[in-house]
Amino acid sequence: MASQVRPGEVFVSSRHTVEAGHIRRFAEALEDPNPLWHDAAYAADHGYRGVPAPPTFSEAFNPLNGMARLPVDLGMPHDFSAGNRYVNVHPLIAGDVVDVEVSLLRVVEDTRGDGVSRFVRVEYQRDVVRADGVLVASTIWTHAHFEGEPARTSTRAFRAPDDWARVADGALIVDRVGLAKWACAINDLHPIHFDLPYMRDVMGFRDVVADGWRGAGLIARTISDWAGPVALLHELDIRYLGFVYPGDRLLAEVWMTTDQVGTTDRRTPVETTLTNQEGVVVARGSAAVTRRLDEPTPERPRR
Amino acid sequence: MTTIEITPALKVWSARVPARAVEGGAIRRFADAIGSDDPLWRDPEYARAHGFRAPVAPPTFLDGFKPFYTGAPYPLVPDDLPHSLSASDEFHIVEPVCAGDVIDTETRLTGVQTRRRSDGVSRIVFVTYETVFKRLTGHVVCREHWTGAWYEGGSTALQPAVFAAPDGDMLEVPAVTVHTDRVAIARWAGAVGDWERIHIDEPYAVDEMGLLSVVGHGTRTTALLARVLTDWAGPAGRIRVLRAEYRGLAFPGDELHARAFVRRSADGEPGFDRYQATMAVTDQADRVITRGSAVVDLPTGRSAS
Repeated sequence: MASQVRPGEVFVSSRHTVEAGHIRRFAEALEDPNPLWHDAAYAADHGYRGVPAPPTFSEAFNPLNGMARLPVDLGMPHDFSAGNRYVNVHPLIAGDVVDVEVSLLRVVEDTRGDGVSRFVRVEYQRDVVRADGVLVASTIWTHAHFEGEPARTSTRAFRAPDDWARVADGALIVDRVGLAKWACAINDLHPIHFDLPYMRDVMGFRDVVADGWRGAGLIARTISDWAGPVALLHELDIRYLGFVYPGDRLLAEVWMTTDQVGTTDRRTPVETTLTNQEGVVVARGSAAVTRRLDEPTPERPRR
Repeated sequence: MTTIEITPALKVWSARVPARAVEGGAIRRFADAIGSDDPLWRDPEYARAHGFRAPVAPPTFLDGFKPFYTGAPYPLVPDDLPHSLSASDEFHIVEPVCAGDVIDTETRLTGVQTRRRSDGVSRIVFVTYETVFKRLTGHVVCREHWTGAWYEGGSTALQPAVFAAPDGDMLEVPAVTVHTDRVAIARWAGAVGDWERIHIDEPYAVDEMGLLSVVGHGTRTTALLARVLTDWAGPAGRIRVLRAEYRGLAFPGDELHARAFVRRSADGEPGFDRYQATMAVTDQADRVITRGSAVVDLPTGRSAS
């Protein structure tokens, strides 16, 4: 393995202040008008000690974003972002100071369907720890590297199983300005997201491609709208299955089984899909919402 | 020639962005987008050692607070004139702002001028807006005058000239060079919040606007004109006035050089020596993309070299 990084080892850490302007830009990049992300009075009315950040905001503190070479670089011809599992314990609040620690979780070697070509999944863990020592969020990101032919993505339209019922949906039209806003919001300034000549002439793609994490952000937006302002998206486990291009119309859908639909408890685990205008699934996964845990009140200085 | 007047409605028009905080992360992104690693913008200890409360915002940082960047529409768009561009920008800086400062921003329309272009037929309308940046106490920290041009006729009103160094006894200070590519353009868009499609959307810029490709932001070149001066003047220097006139477009692949020439002038504030500066941002072919001038104060006794 062409890497100095050992599993379990924190190989990069950085300290960040969660800034209200940054939260606002993140929400704007997801076309998310939810007042919770920018209105301090609205947030206070719902029990927050400040303006909270959307559920996948810690992506903005991902030190691997925009890197030309990943820490585990296997020298294989193909790679793609395969999935994310976001776990939130507490919301991130504007003004919080957090340490972000990234470690290599594990490297899983596999073989592709041709029986010969290597397929390797590299899992990174990113923990966000508040200055008072509380773990706020933890994310596992899976990046896949492989040999052989380029991967073919499905072109079949998605059909929900018969016992699934849709409980929420949210749409986003992908345009170039939105991709650039997102790239800036999470500091993922990689040319694959906005350099069209580079993508066409050097990479052989038909266009620039969207960041899969923006799709996860759209799913999180949809679930947050559905679950309401006092809920916390506790877990979102997403696999990325297809490319997203400018002009695509994305639809995030949240599903329950038909026997659960009557429940008013938003804590029921849900399935989620992200499809494009042709109905093809570009990401899918599962999610669970909790009622927000009471936050420890920060000590106030005595007068 | 039909001229456009300031109507009573335009006279009272204003747009505000109230109480926006100057954030340390936003300052860092702005500095990154002009390739500046000056610790004054980033390092709290360094800033304190030079008499500031917190990291300082570069001179044109507040430009990104303008209401036009957060969705306020232009109150005057001559809709019979198909093209527009940024013509000039002028900053009068009263005092620097630091991370943590909270600023009220208000823009008003202050001038409209209708002229003929050099072909003697086509009209060009210059619209000037004044933006005032204040602390919550009402104390003004900066005034900015931006002029946009709306015009008919040929699709570009810009005639880039070859750069010529100013005559006489001006002293050239060390130049600054930055690269322009699509990543750099997007980084600047994110730093100030200027998401005009002409800077980001390749098919729009080429197919609809008839350009070679996306183009760089003029405001980035203005920030580079300021950077070449702050690099020279150091943390105790103060840019009082900064003027920029947009003369050409920067495209991906361009190397941009910011150059400045300074001369001591007679006036100045107590404790400071005043310098007049002439600047330009040029590309690799020595074409002037933006030219400018400035008034810079250095603490008395500091050598200009």
